[in-house]
Amino acid sequence: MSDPLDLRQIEKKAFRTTWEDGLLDINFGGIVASFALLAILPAEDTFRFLRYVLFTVCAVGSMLIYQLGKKYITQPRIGQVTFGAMRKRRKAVLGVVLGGIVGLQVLIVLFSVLLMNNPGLAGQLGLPNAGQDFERLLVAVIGTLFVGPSLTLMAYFSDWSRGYYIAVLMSVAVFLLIWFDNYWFLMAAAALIIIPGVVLFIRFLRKYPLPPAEVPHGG
Amino acid sequence: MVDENTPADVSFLNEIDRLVHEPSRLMLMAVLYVVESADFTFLMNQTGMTWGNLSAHMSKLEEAGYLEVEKTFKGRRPYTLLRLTQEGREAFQNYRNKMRQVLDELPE
Repeated sequence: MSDPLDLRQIEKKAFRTTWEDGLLDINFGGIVASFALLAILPAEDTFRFLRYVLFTVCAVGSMLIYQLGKKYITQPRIGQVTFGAMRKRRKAVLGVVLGGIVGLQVLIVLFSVLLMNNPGLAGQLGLPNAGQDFERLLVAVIGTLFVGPSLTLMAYFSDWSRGYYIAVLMSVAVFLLIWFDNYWFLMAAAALIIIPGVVLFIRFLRKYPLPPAEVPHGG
Repeated sequence: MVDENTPADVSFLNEIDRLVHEPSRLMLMAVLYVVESADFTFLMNQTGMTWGNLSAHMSKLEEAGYLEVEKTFKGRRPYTLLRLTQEGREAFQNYRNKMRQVLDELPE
């Protein structure tokens, strides 16, 4: 049956407009960067205070950029919209699915801890002997499983296409971080998330200029 | 078997709601159909219409009872929120069904 109006596409396009500002990328990248900073900065007494200050400033700052940016920069430019029941349903489904994934992850972690503390059990299950490398690999894989599927699902249910890129980036970063025990991988991922976010933000400002003051929001 | 010389019955085209059929209004109604409500700025961005155009179409749809317009103030500037009424939603759905039927019945 032919349908001259693809309402799904119209809704998707309208919804995606709300992500065009790149603020979510900047917010997400900022939070990742704040955790990386916390881990990278020296933990000695003289730096401890500085570490926490920097972490707090970076994390709170990126959240403020998101909240205030949406309110004072994005909304006046693209306007305000409330999406319909379909979007709310997707949000609810995302909540349930993510809840399920977190539950599964908790089970995997508990099972891994059990295996690490019982090498005999690992042998009975036919798993290789839990050497140091194996343990690290296991933790790296679990870490990746924590991040990858959750972010992918978030991207899918939120129609946030850049979320897939972030999911892949974060999965690789978490794996490398644990495998090489180097937090600079996390910092690199944060930079690779923030930079496109800033580019998108600049593009957004150019694409959607503020309506002139004399033009009312409506007749 | 359909005789190729017999003109197709297109009388049902008269039943198409002309108020919805106009491209700008159709675009406006399509956007409002998929959301709960939207303000003027959002609709201008989504439809590419100018403020004057949108205002004119908004008035026509409001007069027909297809659109509910809520006018308030945000700071010192007027703020207009639009949403389709139940009647508007039904009119849009009927239009859609009718157009689907028209397009499906067109000969290849």
